Amino acid sequence: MACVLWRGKAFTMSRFVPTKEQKALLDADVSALVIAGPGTGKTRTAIEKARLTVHTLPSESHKVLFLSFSNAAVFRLAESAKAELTRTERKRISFRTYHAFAAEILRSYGRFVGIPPIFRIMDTLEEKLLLIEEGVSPSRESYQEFLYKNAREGLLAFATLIPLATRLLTSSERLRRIVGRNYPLIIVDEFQDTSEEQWQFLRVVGQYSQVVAFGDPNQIIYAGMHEATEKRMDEFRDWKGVVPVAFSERHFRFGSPEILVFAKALLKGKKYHSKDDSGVYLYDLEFRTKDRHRLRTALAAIWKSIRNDGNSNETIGYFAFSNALAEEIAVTLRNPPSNAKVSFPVYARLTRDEAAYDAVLLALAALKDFAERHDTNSCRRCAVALIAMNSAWNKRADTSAKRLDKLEGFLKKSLGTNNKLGQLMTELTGAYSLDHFVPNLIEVFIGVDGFKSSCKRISAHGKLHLPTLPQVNSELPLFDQIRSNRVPKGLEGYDAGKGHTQVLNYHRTKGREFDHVVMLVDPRAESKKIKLDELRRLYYVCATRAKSTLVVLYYGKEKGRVLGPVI
Amino acid sequence: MAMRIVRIKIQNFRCIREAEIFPSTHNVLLGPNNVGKTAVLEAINLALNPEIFARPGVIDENDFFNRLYLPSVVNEDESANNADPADANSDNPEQSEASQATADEEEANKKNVTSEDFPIIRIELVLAGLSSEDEDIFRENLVPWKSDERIVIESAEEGIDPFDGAETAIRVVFEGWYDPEEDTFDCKTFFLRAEGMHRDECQALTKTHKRHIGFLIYRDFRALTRPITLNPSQLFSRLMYSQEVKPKHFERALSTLKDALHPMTHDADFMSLLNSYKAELERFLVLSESQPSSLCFQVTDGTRDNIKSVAQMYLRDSAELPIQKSGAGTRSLAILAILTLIMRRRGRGILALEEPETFLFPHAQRRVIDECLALADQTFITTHSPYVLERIPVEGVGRIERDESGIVKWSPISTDTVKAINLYSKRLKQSCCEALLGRGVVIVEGDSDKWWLLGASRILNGKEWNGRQQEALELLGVSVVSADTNGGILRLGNFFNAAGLRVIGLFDNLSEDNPIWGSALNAPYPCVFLKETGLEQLLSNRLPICILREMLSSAQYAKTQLIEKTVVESMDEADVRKHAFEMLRANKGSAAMHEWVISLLDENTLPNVLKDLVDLVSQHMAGRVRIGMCSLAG
Repeated sequence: MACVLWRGKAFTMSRFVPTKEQKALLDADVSALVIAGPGTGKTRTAIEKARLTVHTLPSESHKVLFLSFSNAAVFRLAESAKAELTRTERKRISFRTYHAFAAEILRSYGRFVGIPPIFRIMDTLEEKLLLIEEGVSPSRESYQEFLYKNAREGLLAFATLIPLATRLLTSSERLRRIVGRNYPLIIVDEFQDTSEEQWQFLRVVGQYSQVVAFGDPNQIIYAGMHEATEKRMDEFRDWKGVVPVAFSERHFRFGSPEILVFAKALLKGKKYHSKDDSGVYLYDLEFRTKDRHRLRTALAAIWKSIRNDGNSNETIGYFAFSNALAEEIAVTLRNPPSNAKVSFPVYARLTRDEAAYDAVLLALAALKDFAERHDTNSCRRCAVALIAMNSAWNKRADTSAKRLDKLEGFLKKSLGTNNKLGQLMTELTGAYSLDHFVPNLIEVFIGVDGFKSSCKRISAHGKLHLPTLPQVNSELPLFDQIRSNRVPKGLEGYDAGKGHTQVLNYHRTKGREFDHVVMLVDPRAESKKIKLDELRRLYYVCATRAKSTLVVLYYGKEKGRVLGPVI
Repeated sequence: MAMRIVRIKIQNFRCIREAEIFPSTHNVLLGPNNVGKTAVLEAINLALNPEIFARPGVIDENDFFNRLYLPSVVNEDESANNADPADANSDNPEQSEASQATADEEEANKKNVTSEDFPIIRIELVLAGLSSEDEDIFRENLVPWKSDERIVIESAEEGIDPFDGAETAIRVVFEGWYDPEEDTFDCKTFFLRAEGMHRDECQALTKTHKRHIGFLIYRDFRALTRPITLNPSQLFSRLMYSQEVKPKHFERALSTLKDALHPMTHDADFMSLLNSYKAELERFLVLSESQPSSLCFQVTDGTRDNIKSVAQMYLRDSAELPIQKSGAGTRSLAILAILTLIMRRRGRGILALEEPETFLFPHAQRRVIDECLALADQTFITTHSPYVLERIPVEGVGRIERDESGIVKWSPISTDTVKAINLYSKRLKQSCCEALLGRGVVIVEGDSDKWWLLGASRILNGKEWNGRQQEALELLGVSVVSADTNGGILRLGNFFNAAGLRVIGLFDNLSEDNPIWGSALNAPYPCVFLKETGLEQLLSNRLPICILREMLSSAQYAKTQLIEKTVVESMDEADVRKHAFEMLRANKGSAAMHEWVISLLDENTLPNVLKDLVDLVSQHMAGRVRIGMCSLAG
């Protein structure tokens, strides 16, 4: 055990003993592409590599760059680094998503690709609001035009950051060299999920750097990515002239090695012979997940038994295939029926794009403005805000101009009446806090055409903690004040790891880890379009998120395509 | 090439309303007093000196051009009361228009005064020639500098590399303004990535950044009174920082101080006094009964900081003196040595020297300048000393000029003009340097012309001629330089003219088919032609006959044989003038003999031609003669 002094307190961490391949990677000063499955010590090697490199860097201005495609992955890396590196070491490492890094480059040099020296970044919500206001369809060609017109005017959508930064660096050899010198080592996480756009960006960013990329083809979970990844691995090989190396399995993550054995069986579709007390528990529920009452009992009982073992600080993740199922689990865990065997509520956190919370706040603010002002402008704004909210919570929601007009009419008609919406607006007039109006909002709009599923989702998230309102000292509508003061969400890492009990859909489990995983298998929730090998990889990713126990709940009569051949 | 300042823009700073300067490697700023030489150096200092950081008090109202730190609308009232309101407004048509605005409009304007209307001191420096290390440090704030067009590239078409054919550079801006809310003067130094960005949107230039740039300034007043101490805000600590040296055993030095008072405080008399005082105190105050108590003196907690300011550097040889009590020369050199050592150890630096010659012997001046030029990547020097000026490559020498509206210009003498005079670097160097430091120069062909012109002006000093009070040229700041040939006069004339001096070329009589005649006609400064073909001719023709007789018979320092006094007396006038002409020609190079002859003359015996010449020169230097050509008749 190594002892590290940090903030005056001594704490210990287990010494990292690298395998032969890992040692080779740590010693080498050339680029590498590493095939590393879950739990093979990828993160620890990456961090150790960064640590060693940091000490060889000539000056303060040189740093190690960690690049990843998702906020969650970046956050997890930064968290691990916190535990294993000293503060000075961490200061020399940048953890960035591709988007954030592109934005950083554009902040300094965007003026050379036609954007103003000072620009704002619009997050998904701001983009939605603008699209709805301008009546642009996100699927049409006019969308590209919309993006670049705004970029030139100093408002950059996420989608423009990487292409613009790539163009900038492509045109300037000098800037590429400067970036290369500043980041002599770039470590890329989840390389298998790198998109074409990100890959082209990486090629210009890392032209003069040592690039160490970690990837695992078995963890490709997005449709149609498998072939592209194979190609990318070849391209990487040609780019840096290196042969991919593989990390052997060492089960760094798994307290129970059996978890990986089971996960591999899922991946290969092979029979798995379960062992007692091995860390993998397979339970036949003997009922469909539709039976919410019994499902709740089972899920809550598992929660109770884990907590009763005295593991109050350990994390529990409930995984369900679809968002809808995940949300229902969250709701049912929170609301025990009166006759429930496990009678206390279990508060599980659902993760959602933070911009979606802002969408609710903006919708309420717009309603309040309209209720207080009665004018056409605020009515229009209100309709825009509501449609943006609907679309933030339900991808398939209708954002057309027709829908907007219809909603506007509905709002106008309800103003001052005694219907539910009219009442809500009356109550909002002069209100100082908007938080407690969320249930009313849902209650009103759940009945409005096209708003049902988004309202259900919002309510599944329980009590929303909306940002505090700005001090009202301006003539501007509240909606505009909040909108112009918003910090764009989702560019930097967010606190994906908070909450001891969480409910996630399968796709969101990527890059996360939990002490205890409860995996709910429901073939009825699965999309029929998804290919078998892709589905298997998805199951594999879910199963390998568990550190000490993996509980798989299924209905014996409907085990589905993946689980069927395994048990 | 190492990092250096390639462009300086100054607005509203002291006597400068506006300036744009493109410095070269080693720059000498020449010019009369109060023209803005120091202001340029101070401007660079404000932007780059690590010891200056943004806080109220760095600037005050006197640092603003014409002390205008309030919006012009508000100032309107003040200027109306001003004795000469036209003066304040003459250069700004907008302002004078505003003064004609109706009272209502003025009222409206006052209400709309925003922070942008306040005058701002603005100093903008572009530093180019960045090394890769510099690029790394300033990576977020690099701008492309095109040295041939002398511009910063602000934007680029897509697909075009903005850094192609450009140097990487940084643009540093210092802004100072009056803050009416706080009633203070505030300032900020920042990187300006793109034109038009507000200072609040820009990244500040930190102390670390400034230390990296490594700007050093030497001002003589610095050396005057302050001791060299370990105080963190002092120059010596910058030396320590540049070497990453900290006094290692400082803590131990501190702890030894704890016992330093022991011999004094443990003296028997002293102890007994303390004890009686304690007893007295106990009459009023109950001290601890369980613990024995006592009173004592100790050094305080403040020692840590105090010691750094109190420990002064001493120079120990036969005697022991703190540096600041040594002679002025020693003090100056002690400071200069800190600067050169910082640069020597860092291998780089941008150095500003304000009159480095002060208190120094000529040889010390030469040595200091040679070392500084060798060590610094770029220098900015103001000087009044020919010994300093002669060491600096002439390519960087230029005159600062300021017009009435406060627009300041500086540019070095063009290289072409410099190349034309190979004389400069040889024999003429010193006299040229002296001339450059003055206001004007008369260029003559030979040394004897020079002695006679200066001699004549000395004789006329304080006397009246042509209805004007005459003054010696030396006292007017006018030098006389001899150019050896007629062609040399033109070349030197062009050089001094390019350097911004008032110039007169003085030629012997030339025939009109001489090509030099034509060139002199077109020269941008007046050329004067003597009627005679040479000075010897002029003197032998025009000096009073008695003076010539005395010269022939009893001249001192003459290289040629003197003629018996009786023989001279017997000669007729024509013969005397003939012999005098030959004697003068034979003694062309003898300064002593010429000076001897001059000493015989007074304002009455001095030939009128020479008096007219002296008058003409001083008229031209006062700006009262139009450029042209004239010939002096007898």
